[in-house]
Amino acid sequence: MRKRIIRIPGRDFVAIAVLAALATLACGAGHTLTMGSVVRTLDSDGIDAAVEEFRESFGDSTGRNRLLYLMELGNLYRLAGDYPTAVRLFLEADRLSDLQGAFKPGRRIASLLTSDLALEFRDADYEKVMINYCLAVCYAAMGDVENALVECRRLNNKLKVMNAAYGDMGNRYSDDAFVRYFSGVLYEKAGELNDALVAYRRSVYVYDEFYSRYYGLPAPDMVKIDVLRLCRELGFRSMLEEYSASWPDLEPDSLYRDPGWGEIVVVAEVGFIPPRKEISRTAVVNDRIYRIALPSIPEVRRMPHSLEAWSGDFTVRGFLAEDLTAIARKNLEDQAGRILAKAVARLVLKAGVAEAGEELVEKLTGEEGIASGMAGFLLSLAGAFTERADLRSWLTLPDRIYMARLTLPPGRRRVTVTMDGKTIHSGTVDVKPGDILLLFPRGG
Amino acid sequence: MTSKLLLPVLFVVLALAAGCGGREVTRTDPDTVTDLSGYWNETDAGMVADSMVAQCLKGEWLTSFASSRGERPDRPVVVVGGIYNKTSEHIDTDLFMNEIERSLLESGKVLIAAGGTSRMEARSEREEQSIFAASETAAEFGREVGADFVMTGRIGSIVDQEGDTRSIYYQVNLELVDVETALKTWMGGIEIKKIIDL
Repeated sequence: MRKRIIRIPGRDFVAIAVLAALATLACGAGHTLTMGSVVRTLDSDGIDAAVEEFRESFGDSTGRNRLLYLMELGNLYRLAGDYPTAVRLFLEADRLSDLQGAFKPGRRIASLLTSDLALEFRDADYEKVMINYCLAVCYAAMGDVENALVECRRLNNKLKVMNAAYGDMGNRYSDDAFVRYFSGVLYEKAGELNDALVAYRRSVYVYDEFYSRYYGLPAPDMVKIDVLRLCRELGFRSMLEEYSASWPDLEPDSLYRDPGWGEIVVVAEVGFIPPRKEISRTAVVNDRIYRIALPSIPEVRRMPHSLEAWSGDFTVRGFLAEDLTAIARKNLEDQAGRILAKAVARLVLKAGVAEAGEELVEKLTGEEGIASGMAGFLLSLAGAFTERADLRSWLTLPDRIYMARLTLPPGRRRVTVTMDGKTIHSGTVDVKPGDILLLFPRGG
Repeated sequence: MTSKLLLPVLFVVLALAAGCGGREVTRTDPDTVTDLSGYWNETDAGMVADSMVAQCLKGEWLTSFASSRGERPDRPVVVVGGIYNKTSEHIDTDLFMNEIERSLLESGKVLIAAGGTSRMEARSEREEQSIFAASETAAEFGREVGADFVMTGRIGSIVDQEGDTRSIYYQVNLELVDVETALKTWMGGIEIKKIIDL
């Protein structure tokens, strides 16, 4: 039976199409498995082993997954504290992400015959933003605030472009409250208080307008206090009165900050963002196999964490600033319509290919028989087999990010940071009057 | 239907084959204008530096520069200080400062005092010489020429984008401050607008 099909003129084209599909699957679908193992190695054996395993196991570092490769590797180096290498990789990732608008017809057609995995990896909106956040962290950790602020300004431009692209369609992730707040801290560190206030105010707006509604995360009191504090320091009396009236519960004493004291700002990343899972449905209708597969991020119950920073008698409790897992899930839901439309288009095209194959065999054999039926069936089988959800995403991003601000008198001081009672940082810092020191411990 | 099938399959094969090309490197004249990404590059740095220095040297400050200089050089001594990057790009401001220093030096109308790390290296070398060099060849201390003016500036940018077209507007401002009086003796600016088809 198979021999009769193989004799069909044009079989090479069909075979190449199926082989191309299989090759595509081999390159892209393994990312979730690869990163799962790398993340486990990171937890068990440390950063160096994780980087080594990643380099060995990530299959496609130069092709259509180049951007994903750069983001993951850059982030591993960032977590390892090798900031110069991380910056080099992230800058390339940012440039690649920026130039991704170019249309690649070959890949588009291959993706219609196979799955979205045949396409170049395109970063999700929150991943685009996180590239700049990671770069800002790297520069700040190296003490280069000027270049960290470049990333804040770059982020501002990026968000404007992203939102303009959505137009009236709307997008739940239209801005990032945490990154705005972090930008405000950097502006404040650089002494640019006006820009810091703009960033803090924007952060409060985004928390209350979007984060509260979509991710259950309203503006933390600390962010509001920083808005009030800077309004007062800059002498913006009417703005201060307006905000104070909106937040009557905030303690006025918390607004006073001795200018002779310094500050420690802790940014603690916790856990890793969960991988996407495939949801699929397969149906057999009239000797044809139809399959549709979509990506999703399942809901899982997570416990809140408790961040504390202290030095001597001075203690402060941290707050949840970013829930990236929730953002990633909603962002994927926002894309669901587009992903489904593409999956349906693929389904129709694959059905057409199976039909064409059957007709071709009928014409060549001169009869409507088992051979032509089998050809159609096998083509629909190949179509179903190659239908896979695109599960590629940046998996070394944190699940959640917590922050804490600790004000201290000047001098050399030992600062300890704990997450759920476990020490995640302990070290001596030189606190200078009016200065802000940034700490980036990882909370497990 | 069958001919319709062949076309997409052919595209798949061509698309896959497209990734098999090798890398080609071509050497080019450094003066060639290469705008690959549209962002700030060495051409912008050189062009802006030349233009700003030409503007600066036409300023009133140079003609009214006191001729009674005593022991001091007959030309004003300028140190190029910090150029602050306020753009959304990682611009190598040291490179830009070097371009300004080069352009000022080539004019022959001013003397350039080393600033920043260059000055620190010169001082370090002098210290080393005082220990390791023969006394008759060692550089003397306290003979640095103090600068009359310090030049500082900032580069700012505004980015706008609609679809695949991006515009970047750069504003470069420089100013010359009299070190003794702290008076601003010259201020200048230049604008560049770029349109980039992504």
